[in-house]
Amino acid sequence: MKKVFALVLVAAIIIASVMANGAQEAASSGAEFKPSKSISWYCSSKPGSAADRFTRKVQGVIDETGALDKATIVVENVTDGSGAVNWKRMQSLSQSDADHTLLTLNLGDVTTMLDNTQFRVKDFKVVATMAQDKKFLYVSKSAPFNDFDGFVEYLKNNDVILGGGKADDNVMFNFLKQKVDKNDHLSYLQTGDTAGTLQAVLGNQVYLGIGKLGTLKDYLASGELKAIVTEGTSRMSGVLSEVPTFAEKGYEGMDFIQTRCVVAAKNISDSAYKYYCDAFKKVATSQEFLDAYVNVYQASALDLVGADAQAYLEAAEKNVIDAGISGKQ
Amino acid sequence: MSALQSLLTGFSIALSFKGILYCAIGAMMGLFIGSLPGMGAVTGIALLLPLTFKFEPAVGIIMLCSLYYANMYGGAYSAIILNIPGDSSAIMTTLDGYPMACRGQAGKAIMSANLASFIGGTIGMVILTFTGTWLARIGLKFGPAEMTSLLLLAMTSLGWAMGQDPYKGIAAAMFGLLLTAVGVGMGGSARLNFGSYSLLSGIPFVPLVIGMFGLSQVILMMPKRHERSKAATEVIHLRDSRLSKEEIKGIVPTSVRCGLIGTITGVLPGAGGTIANFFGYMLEKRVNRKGDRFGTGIVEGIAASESANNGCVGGALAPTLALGIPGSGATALLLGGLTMWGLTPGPMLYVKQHDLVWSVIASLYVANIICICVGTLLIPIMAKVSRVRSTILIPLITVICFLGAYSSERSMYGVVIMLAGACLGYIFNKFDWPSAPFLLAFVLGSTLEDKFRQAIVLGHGSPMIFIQKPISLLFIILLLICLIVPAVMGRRKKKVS
Amino acid sequence: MQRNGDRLKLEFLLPLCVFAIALLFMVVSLKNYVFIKKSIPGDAFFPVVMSVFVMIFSGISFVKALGKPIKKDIHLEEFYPLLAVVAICAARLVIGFFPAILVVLILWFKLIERFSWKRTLAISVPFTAVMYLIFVVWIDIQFRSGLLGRLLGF
Repeated sequence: MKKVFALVLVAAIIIASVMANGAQEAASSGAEFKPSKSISWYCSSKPGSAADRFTRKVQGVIDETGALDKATIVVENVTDGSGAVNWKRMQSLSQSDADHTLLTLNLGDVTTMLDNTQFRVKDFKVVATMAQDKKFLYVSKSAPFNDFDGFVEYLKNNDVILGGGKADDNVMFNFLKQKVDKNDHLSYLQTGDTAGTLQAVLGNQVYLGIGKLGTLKDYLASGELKAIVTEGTSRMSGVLSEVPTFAEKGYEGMDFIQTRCVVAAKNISDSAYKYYCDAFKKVATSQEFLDAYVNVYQASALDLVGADAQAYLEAAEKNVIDAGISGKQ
Repeated sequence: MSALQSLLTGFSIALSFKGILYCAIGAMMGLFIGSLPGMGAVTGIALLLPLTFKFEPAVGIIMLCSLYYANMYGGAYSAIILNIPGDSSAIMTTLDGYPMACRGQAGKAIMSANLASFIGGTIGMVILTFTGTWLARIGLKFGPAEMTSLLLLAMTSLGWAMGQDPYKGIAAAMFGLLLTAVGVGMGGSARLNFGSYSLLSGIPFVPLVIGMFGLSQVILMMPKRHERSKAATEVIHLRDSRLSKEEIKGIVPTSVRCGLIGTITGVLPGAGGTIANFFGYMLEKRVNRKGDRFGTGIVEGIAASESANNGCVGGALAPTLALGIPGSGATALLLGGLTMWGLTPGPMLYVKQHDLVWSVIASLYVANIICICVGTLLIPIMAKVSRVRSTILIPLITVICFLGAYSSERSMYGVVIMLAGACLGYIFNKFDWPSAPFLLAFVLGSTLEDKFRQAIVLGHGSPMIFIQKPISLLFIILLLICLIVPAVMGRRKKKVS
Repeated sequence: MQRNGDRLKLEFLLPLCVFAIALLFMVVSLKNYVFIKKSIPGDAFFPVVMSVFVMIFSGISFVKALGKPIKKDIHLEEFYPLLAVVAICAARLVIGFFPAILVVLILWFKLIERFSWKRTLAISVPFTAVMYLIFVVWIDIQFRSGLLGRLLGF
């Protein structure tokens, strides 16, 4: 009985080690990568959210263009820990899983990561940075000012409450507090999301809010709301083409633009990483992506992949750390 | 074009073969998922939303909206049969539905729920149709101060649920409020998560409810699982579920009142089906002549709860469609889904996408009819479930609870919370602490803190804002009346006796 | 664990535990977070206020409960559903979720309810299959395969 047991145990160990070695060999052989099973794509936001829409739109474009050789992509919305559980999971994937797992990571997520966890962008391999959603300050019709200069002047002697949503909106408030609010008159109403801020502005609870074009374009077009300044170094197009940037107004450094990125685990194999970078480059520059996401949500296209994308996101992270601008409020 | 003409245009699309087919598919999917324990509107839409992306936009949108509506309908079934609310908006339904099922009246309870849901839902839809945009703008008047006062007023109504020892009830309610502090604080940094990444997103409500109501119920059933009541051995036919004239006379006015309350509650920012359900039940308990029998298993109790949460659908859709501001957690998901389909909810929606919007509203009416028909036909089947022996039902419900908790969070975190909730529910039961105030306070807690803090910010640090805002002042006065009057009446009674 | 006529005088235990949790929350909140800053409630405000209320009312319940027995019996078999969930959680690491569910259901019906094999399999297998169809095939929830599944390439 003992002999039989020992034999079975030895056989199991041999089989397991052969399979493990086989997997390693396949990984290190330098052979061209092709997905051998379904690809898990994690999104740390709930279905229907902005990050989820981005993820699913890109998934749709990939399916349409066959960019990942018709591999099945399974999007999973795992919202535990505001994304922290996903970040932790990505650190402990096996080689095979690492080659078949992607994660949507926005710049707003990076702020949360910096504030609440030990993880950093260097703990991931950035596959692509694909789009940006610029934010802007807007005012209601009943506001006592209707442009940025008027706001700055008004703020010198009067209390103003700014409405904002989550982490990346908090960054804009912190920026304004540091650079614009000389007399400590600016306070912040954190509403939780863009819709909550919109509600506060429309309901005349506040008259200044932070928003994104995708949600507010109809309000801007109808004149019910007015944008007074945008972030970034270049002006937005369309209905916001007349709106100046912070940089134009002499306030440098408000470049914390919500950037939509796709990352992989740090231990992804080189061949798999190259494969995804090439595929996402094609997707980011495709007309299908422009039609499905960029034009629909009034975003800006960005098509950095691989080392360029990694450098971009790490630089953005460094800016946040250096400027002391975090998502905490 | 008048609202009625627009609605008729919408019906011309919704009543096409494809429209009815996909509406029916969405309604049945929503009914089924909504009836799974703990898998209510928010979780149901989150799970089923990706499925709708496989279809073309017009039918995808119709399917999505009928799915959302039917989720509210379906939540009553597991509440009645298993005492596990299908959604947080069906918690109050368990209070009267399950006792009726235990008495062998499961069919009647479900029929009451169906009828009340139909009436409440219709009221919500009619109000949405004719006053949607106007109602949405009225809802904007409810700012943080108003919402805080309203929620505090709601908290006083928990008094009825305190049980015999009010100190235990209050302690349970306050404990529920305290636990909502776990997660991320107002400034975005971790709070009371004790180093756990999972707890950064707080304690999720769905697995907690599955544990406290579902699994703990199963645990308590274990010693009695071999007992079999007489009611459980009788065969149930559809005709046995018919409501008497007196019962219908009780249900209809209750449903109308609570449907209106639900619709108005749905318009309020961040209120949603759970609060609508709660308000409807509480207010009806006070005004209904059978109010003192609420909680013992009467059709009016079920009607109050179900008509309110279905009425809430129409109310919550008003700000969602007209302003792009979701009225509840479920409509927030719906909004995301609608945006995926190219709909841009907001001031221009009714102008730019007129036909599509009205086909959505019309599809809700169609979904309402489909739900009541399907729900009625399912009564004998569902009633049979209530008669399955406990020896078989217990392990099966345990597995359903496990899968529901896992699915709601897509991770074992949900299961851990469910186990914790089950232990808590079991302990509460053994020590005679009421669970209902704990859960209801838990539901209200995070909204209460959010709104309170926002109100103080808007008041520039002064709590006087609660009195300066007229609507808030009205609620504060009602709150004081609710607190003082029972105390004074109680003292007078003591003096007299 | 059923004790007839000799009930455990532990009714004070729950209010004591709740009191302790509230005290912990209050101490941690005051130590780590801001209570009020410039008249605006900080992260510590809500938990501290709620903790105070919890401590007051659980304290009163504690005092009232001293020396009183728990009114309801505790039965060992009440813990079986919890054990079943824990067993599924453990077994799924090796054999995956749905095989674990099937195994636990079979063990339950055989060992606890003492059903016949025919009846056990007639309930367990179709039920597990239906759950699989609903949650995996239809709703598309991803359930990770266990060790065995990964070795077999699933």
